[in-house]
Amino acid sequence: MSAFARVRELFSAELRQIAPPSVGFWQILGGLTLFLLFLEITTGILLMVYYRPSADEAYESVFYIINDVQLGWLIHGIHRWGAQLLILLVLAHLIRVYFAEAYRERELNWVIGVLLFLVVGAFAFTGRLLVWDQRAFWGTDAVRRVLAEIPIVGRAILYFLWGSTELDANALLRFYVFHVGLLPWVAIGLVMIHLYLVNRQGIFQRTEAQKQQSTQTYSDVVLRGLIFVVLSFGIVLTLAVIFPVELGNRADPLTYQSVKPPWYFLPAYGLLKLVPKAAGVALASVGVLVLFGAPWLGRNSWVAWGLGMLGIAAVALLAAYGWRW
Amino acid sequence: MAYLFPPERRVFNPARRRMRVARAEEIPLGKGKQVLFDGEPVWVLHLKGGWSAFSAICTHQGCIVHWDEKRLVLSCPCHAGLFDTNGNVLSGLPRRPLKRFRVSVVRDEVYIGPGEG
Repeated sequence: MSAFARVRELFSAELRQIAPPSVGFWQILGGLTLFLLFLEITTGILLMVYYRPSADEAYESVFYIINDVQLGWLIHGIHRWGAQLLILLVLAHLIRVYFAEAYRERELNWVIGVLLFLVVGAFAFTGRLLVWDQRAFWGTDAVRRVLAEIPIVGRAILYFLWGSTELDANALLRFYVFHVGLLPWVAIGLVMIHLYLVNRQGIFQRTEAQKQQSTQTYSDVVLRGLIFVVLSFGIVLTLAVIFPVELGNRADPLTYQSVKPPWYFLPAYGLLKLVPKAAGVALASVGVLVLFGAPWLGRNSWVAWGLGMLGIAAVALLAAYGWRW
Repeated sequence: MAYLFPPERRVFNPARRRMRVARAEEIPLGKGKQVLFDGEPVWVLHLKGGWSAFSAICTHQGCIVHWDEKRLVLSCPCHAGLFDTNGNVLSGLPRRPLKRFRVSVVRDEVYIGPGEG
């Protein structure tokens, strides 16, 4: 038997296996995020062909991609809208897993999931600066000012992430290196461990009753998933066509522009507007630690539910405050 | 890991676009502060009409000019050249005005950058 036939046989055997009856629409979210990550990496590689990560050329290269390169506007649009949908789905997946209490006996995979959530946030943050327009520049510079005010470690963090205490060519290059050279490897590694653990520990089922005989196989689940993959790609494509990405003015480090962050950073923005910057960073860090520790904090179902609702309410209120401010 | 932290005393940045000078309140009205921008000494002045920045290198023979707070002029100690608060020559041997830099105040922090300001 050839190697190809053996692999095919292996896949067929996997797909013929009986899937738990509880696997429905909500379990597809994880698979969809994987597809969107693949879409982001693919369009990101295509953008790298023309993008130049220097303060003198970054804006012009993005302008060139959008206005001159064949279908460049579409590739850029898919990358940008795909990122938005990816963040939304990762968030939905995280909330779904939390409220289904699917983290029980899967604590390590929950921690890896939260790490992936943070990596997706890091992708969004580092990618935003790369267009080097006024919004990107002053949005990132606001974060620089926040980090500069953190006692003891603030300066070290800036030197590590920004390459200096200023937002300039060094920061742009570093953000580019993180965005295309480091984060994809981290994301791929974490996804592999995440999937390995899902495969090893099996899909979560709340009760013994759900483990009864099922008629659906994994091929049914995959087929259903593929329909949603096509659907989500259609949504991203439609958004990229109807709402093409608009480039602002070229970044001018001496012409200040007040910028609101994108929707996914609004809770953090709201928090920093509400309390002093260093305290805001400390509170956000505590929030992330609580998220990591959710499986241990929410051992009791009612406590878990209450903690979850409280967290969502706090995040929603902070986002609303950040949006209004 | 140490490789990722650039040496603080000399961050490589040949195409610097801006540099933080000070907090605005650190330079009261009528005062000035001299800083090095890309190796060039620059006077950043807080004047009644706003902020201005000029190269501190005299256009005559390259001496370093000083900010005279009382007379509100930049004076060259070498050949008594005088420049006004727009960098133009008032008297003395210099023929060309001082090179200007852009100044910007962003959230109470004064920055300078290359280009006419």
